[in-house]
Amino acid sequence: MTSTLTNKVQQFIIEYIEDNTALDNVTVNEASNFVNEQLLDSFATLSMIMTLESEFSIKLSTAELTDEKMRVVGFLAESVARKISA
Amino acid sequence: MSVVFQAFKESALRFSDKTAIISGDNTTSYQTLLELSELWSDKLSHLAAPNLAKVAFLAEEALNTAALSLAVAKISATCIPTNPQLTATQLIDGWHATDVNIVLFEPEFSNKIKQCQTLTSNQNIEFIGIDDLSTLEIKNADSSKKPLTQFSNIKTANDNFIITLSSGSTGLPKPIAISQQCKLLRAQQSWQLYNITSEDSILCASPFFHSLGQRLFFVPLLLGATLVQLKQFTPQAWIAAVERFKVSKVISVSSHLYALKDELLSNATQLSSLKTIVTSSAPIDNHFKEQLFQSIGCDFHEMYGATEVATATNLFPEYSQQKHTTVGSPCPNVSIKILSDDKTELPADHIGEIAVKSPLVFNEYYQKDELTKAAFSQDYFLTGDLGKIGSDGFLSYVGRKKDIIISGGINIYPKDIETALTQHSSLKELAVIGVDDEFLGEVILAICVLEDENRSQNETIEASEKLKQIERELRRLANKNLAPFQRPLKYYFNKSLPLTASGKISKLELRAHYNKLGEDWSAPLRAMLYR
Repeated sequence: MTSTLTNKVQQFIIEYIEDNTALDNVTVNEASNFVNEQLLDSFATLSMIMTLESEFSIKLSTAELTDEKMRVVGFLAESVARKISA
Repeated sequence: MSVVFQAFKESALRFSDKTAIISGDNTTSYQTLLELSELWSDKLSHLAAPNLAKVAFLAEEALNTAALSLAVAKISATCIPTNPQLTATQLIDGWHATDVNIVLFEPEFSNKIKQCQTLTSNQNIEFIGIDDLSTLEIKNADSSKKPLTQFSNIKTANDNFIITLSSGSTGLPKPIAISQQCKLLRAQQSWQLYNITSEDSILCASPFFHSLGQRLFFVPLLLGATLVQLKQFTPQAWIAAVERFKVSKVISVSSHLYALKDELLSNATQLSSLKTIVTSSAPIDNHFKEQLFQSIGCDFHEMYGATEVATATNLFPEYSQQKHTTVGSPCPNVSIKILSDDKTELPADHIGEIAVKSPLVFNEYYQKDELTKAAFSQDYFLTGDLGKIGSDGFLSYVGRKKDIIISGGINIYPKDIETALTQHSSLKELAVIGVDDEFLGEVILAICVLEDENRSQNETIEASEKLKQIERELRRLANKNLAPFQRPLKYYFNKSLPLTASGKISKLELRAHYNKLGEDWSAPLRAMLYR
């Protein structure tokens, strides 16, 4: 896994959140927790998971998604990048 | 009073040598059709007393269908065109619901009739092969079966002439009864809306048991135009029929137009006879309509209506640019309201149920008084469709009232999603459905059919990658143009979509199929949010 790949995925997630958040003037970065900070509603969250799986041809299992750290942009990006490289 | 037959007879006498019907390699003149319908009306008039004269037919040949329906019209009886694809039990149920006492059938349906006869050994239905009708000898005339013509004065133009068995969205049969006067007025409405004259050749690719099929028979035959029948629709057969028989006007179901989308443009030179295409609520984009006009010189009308009220609105070509998201404005003498759930009228731009008041309204749901009463609010027929009227008076169709997807408590209209996604050039057809989900109530699935060149014929890696790429593009389109709650959760790629007998996409069948998969659709969401 390269940091370039992680950065690419991370940028994709940040842009997705920025495009889909209902909040104004929000700054999204690798430390953002899109669930706890209520950046995304449940439909936008579900749509993001599906979009990531489709965009990067990966599958995120239910067990993996239960990890609370997956709500954080940086950790989610690393997990996706790891799967792409696997 | 047989106004339909009278109108036909006037045309037949005026255009006696002209071709009335073309079906495959067979052509029939107006004179031949008139003679056959008069012969058959004479035979039918001896078969049943007037109050019992309910004639069903299992027929696919245009000549048989036309001559039979005109024969029934002449004696002011009632006909019940029936879908031969139904099972014997379904046929009998439909015929009992409409008090059918005579069934006429083409030879190819003999086996189906035998099955029906075993089910109705004690029932009062007479089965007669259409091939035998012309030579049928009427023996021992019985006083209870006097020729119907003797009784014709007790019938009026507003008695039931045709009963169409519509399945309705609940699956229960809805026998929609229409008078001769109404059929004639409906034909006249089409002549006016689409400038149809006796010079036109009109293509019919819909079966007669469907209301569109009936319309496409009576519209040409009551005017002296030519009916071109296409028994089996394929895009190639459609193109060939238009070219060979110089078809000038087409009224099409949306699924046929979807299938024809590419063929129309790539075969433009063969289609130069086409002057007008009419379709109902087909999400075909404006750019395509414009291309069609440029390449064929063909007008495109979009209409909205229902079997119960005929055409309610029409979008004329001159408004196709400006008002392309609508289905047009009300037809002459038609009034439309948008109603809330408590049946009060909603103001402009509010979504509610489309209610139509029309002089072309049906008579009744046959012998279903309560159902008929429940279908109206004052004089307005409740279509079961959702829509809104803009301040300009143009109607926008939103979807079937019962086609709403409710996900997370939000009402979602599949048509909005279908319209957004069909912008993708690889999509040939699309059905957006809701499937059951314990957590969200329903989730959204998009069932896609791709254009031929994108269709994976086998399970190669290349084909699979192509599908993944198209799904990515569709998701990007959805993410850009749809709210998160409107975005399909899953995309499926099929070779075709199941159709109802009348050619509409069967979302009922799709829902049943995908519900059977028993997927826990929202599991990823619950895992992430509510572990």
